[in-house]
Amino acid sequence: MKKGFFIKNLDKETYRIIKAIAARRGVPVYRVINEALSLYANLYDSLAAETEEESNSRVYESLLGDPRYTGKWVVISRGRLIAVAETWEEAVRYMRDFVKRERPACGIVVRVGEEVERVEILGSSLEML
Amino acid sequence: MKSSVARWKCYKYSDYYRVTAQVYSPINDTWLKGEFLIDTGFRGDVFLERRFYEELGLQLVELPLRIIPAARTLAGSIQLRAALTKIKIANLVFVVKAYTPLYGYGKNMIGRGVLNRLITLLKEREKTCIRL
Repeated sequence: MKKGFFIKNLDKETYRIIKAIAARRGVPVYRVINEALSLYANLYDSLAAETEEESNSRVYESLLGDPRYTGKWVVISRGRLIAVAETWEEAVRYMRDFVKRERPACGIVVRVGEEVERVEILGSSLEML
Repeated sequence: MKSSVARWKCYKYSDYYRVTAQVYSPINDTWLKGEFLIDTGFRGDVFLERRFYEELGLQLVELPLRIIPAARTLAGSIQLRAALTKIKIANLVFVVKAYTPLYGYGKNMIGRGVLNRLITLLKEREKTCIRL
């Protein structure tokens, strides 16, 4: 029997996706994991150049146009989608729990598809009164 | 019988028209007090000093940087960070977008986005009053 590794705390959802990819391709799961690990190792330098804020923004952009998330509140931190909620208050509660557990430096709570109006700061006219 | 006398909450004028307000920290579930200039030249809800913004933990519930347009100012464009939160002025609570500069210190100001939801009375160089 070949030697193997035991890895704790693998993300179940990601593992399920990898398993589904392997099934679709008709190859063993370990082969897809090996490919994913090599890909990450090759891309590591360019990924490391991205800040946490940028990677959070990138995750948000990947959700745009996906009907499962349109109009929903999403919580993003550490470059991954943490939770999906119906209201801002619910999304904030998810982020509060995540902050307690993982202490991230930054995060996103936004309704998918929300647009922000352009801001103007042109000096107060009140001071001329 | 209900009284028809209008009730106002007033704040002293000091170089600028100012109000004291509390901003909600969604992460800590607390309210922090701050002094805000009234700025009718600011088209937006609330602008915060960067230190205050971070003290509130708003960097943890931010809007994605890429959807926040640069702000137009008299000195050119500046890139902002923004987060959704609440502000309490004279016991009136509003959901607002709070902005702070991506670079630099910023200033605590209340813009037209909030002022348009209030009835505000300015007594010349004496006080700012908000109708309750």
